[in-house]
Amino acid sequence: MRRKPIPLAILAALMLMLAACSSGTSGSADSDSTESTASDSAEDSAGAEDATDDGEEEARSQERTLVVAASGTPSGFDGDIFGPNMQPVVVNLNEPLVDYGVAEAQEDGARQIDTATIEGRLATAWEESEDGLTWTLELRDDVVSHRGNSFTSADVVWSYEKSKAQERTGNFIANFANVDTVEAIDEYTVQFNLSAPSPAFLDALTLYVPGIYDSTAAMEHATDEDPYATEWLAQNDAYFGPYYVESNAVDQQTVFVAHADYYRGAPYFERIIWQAVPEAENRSTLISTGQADWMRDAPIDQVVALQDREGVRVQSVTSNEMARALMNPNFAPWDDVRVRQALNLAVDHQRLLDVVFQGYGEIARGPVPPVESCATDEFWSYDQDVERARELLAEAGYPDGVDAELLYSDVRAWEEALAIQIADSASDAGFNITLQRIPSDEMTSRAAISVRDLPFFTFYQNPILLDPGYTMYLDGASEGVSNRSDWNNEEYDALVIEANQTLDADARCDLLTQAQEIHMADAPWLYGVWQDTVKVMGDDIDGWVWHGDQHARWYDLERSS
Amino acid sequence: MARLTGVGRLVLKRLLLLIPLLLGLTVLTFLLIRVGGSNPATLIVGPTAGDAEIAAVEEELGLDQPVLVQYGRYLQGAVTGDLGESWVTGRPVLDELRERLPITLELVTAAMVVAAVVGIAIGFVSAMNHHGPADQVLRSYTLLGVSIPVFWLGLLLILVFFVLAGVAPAPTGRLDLFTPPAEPITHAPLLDSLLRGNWAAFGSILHHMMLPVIALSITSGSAIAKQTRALVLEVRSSPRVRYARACGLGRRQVWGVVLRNALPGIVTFVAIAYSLSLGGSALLELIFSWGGMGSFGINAITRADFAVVQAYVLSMGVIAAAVYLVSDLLVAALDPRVTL
Repeated sequence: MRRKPIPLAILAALMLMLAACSSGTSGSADSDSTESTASDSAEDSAGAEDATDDGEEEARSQERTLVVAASGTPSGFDGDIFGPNMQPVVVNLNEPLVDYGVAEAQEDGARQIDTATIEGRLATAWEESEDGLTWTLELRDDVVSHRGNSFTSADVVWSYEKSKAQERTGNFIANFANVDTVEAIDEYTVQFNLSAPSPAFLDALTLYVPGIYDSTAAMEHATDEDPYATEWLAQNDAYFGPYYVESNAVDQQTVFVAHADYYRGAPYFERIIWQAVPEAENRSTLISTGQADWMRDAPIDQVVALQDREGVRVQSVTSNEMARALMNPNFAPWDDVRVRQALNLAVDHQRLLDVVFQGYGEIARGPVPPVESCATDEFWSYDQDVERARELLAEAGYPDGVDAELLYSDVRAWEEALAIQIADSASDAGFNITLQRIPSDEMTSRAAISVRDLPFFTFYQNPILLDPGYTMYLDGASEGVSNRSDWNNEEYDALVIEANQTLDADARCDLLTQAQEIHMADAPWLYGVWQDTVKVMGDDIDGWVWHGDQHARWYDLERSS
Repeated sequence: MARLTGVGRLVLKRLLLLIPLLLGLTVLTFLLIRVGGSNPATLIVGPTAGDAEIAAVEEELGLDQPVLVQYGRYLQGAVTGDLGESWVTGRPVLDELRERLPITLELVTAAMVVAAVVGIAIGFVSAMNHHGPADQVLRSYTLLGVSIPVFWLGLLLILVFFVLAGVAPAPTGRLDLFTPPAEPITHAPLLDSLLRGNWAAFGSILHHMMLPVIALSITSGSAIAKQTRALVLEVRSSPRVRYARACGLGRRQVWGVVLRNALPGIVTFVAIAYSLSLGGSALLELIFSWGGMGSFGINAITRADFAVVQAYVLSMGVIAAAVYLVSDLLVAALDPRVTL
């Protein structure tokens, strides 16, 4: 009967606990002051100095900490493995052999790489043999991994052998660059033996795959079944880059710290807190309230909402990612080139840019990203022309219009908006397009080279290697692994393959230009928009440089005073 | 002794019933996630892989085998405690469950304790003041509570208490950005910080739990309140309560009789609400970046992480069965008419 006070007591205790928790350090300070006496004054004074020192230390620590609000924590740390949120962090752990230079800053302060300039990183010098079949690289002798192991040519050899054995992305890149074997000439000289000359060899070395691993650390975890320690490397980092993993609480927070002995000097940011915030709305809230310094994966509507917000900086650079729709010529009506051309003429491309991307990007007037050499828009002939589109449909045997189903998913955030605009925009010309959303995993699976059974669908194009030969082979050649709509043109294939074995830059560009003409005439895609890479950050964050993989290098960043 | 035998019999019966239930769940889940065109192999190998690489991974995962063979292998592993590996994290699914399940159970249990206490109190007060002003106000509140989707309520609470009022922490998960977590013992973060005496983490977790617990307890608590009100009103007009009144019992004593008679029904409903909240918390976990089972399950579905989806459904089934068993035992303890 006298039980009433118990819930009240529990409630009171909980409130007290919460109050104590939320009051933090100020609560203790108050408590100390009430008990202090005159005889304690010296200790108090020393304590106050300590507190001031602690406060300064904490302020400095927070100033040198970059808080990144991301959609999730990285699923691993091996660049050879493709997983959510992995690549954006691996580029900051790995140190490439060479890298691109940096071009002048844009008006908004954003900078981007200069693909015409190659600078040394782990390699200090490089030389190509006359026949183009070997490249000899001199390596730095002052590089140490965060695990304390010195970098040598053995690490480069081991890393390429590991990626080749693993048969994932690194192997694909190495194969594209025609890398056959890698051998150590001496401790700091390494030789790449190519199966054929490669005009994109140095470009391939700028990538994070094949990564350059601390093979000494990795080999400590090798087993007979796993001679390259791929299982250990999947969840642990062993690189020579500016940062390393301090802790990883999956789906919560990953903490990276700067490598104190990094050969280019200590980065400005000593600590990176990679915070998982799955909801874009919440990431947006964090950046606008100053709780985060960097927002990843910002949907365009959030970008627009944030771009004029006080304390927030938005920078953008036109990227190498195209938002597009693909037409599979193995399915009617897309088997008729006139229908594919008609769709390109029916759609208002400017509207795609303005409505779907709010102007953040540029109309894709060719299959090669403008940032790559040899890209041209001279074969563009698809400004909206509804009458011509109708004529083409009639010639193709569809005088009353065409019914089609456009499949889209959320592999990319823009897909639904793009699909809606395409369907609406093309209707005037007689395209009766219905929309069908499918799960992203189904989209990726069905668009893979082993299936390719999607007749008409949205899918991004995003070549990480900024080389037009790579892009055109990957996305357009019949054997290209990202040729998701199974488009097949023998003449195009021959030109691209020849270009990828041609070392003379002008001759190579000629071949690739011809291939672009064929692509544009045959129109296997609805050419959409080269969207901008848009970065949302605190307005005190400077130094962002756009890279071909679209991931920021934390080493570039600083906090302005 | 006879009572104990009854309890033992009930537990044994439920455990036996669990076998066909879980078997059915595994069959359904296994088939359903394979009906779509998803192929984890294509996701694992990444966008630059060719036919040969995809085929090699399919073989490695056993995806090249007929579905029945795949199911047989899965079942064989499951009975020996091997639920497979997540292709996303590369870790055994059982380890993932061990780490994530306590996180969600802690959050949902805390929310349900609040929901049950508040919901029962509201329902009781509402029924006591049938058609009175208090009843009208509380009924409006509960109607609102059951009508609001929990994820939307979560976003609203963030807007009001974090963005505008600044009294709630940022929705960055279970801890402040700069507070290190306690070394895990049970993997329930609040409990671990308590056991380790890590008061900074304990306070931070309590603070971060505030909004998701409020959101979940408003929606679930409103449903409990409505059910409590209905049960109390029903019991209030029952012959046994009329008899109690006729015997001259005081008002408080009569309400004691009412509550005692309504309690078994309320307990059963709280159990239902608890198991529903486990599933419903998934979106809430995403909104508050909680990182428990819910977000684990949702991410697995979107990434065709078959082993995780199967384990997620299976574990939810086991927990639901356990919750119903406990509620049945409680009902038996509360209601002498129930024999086990």
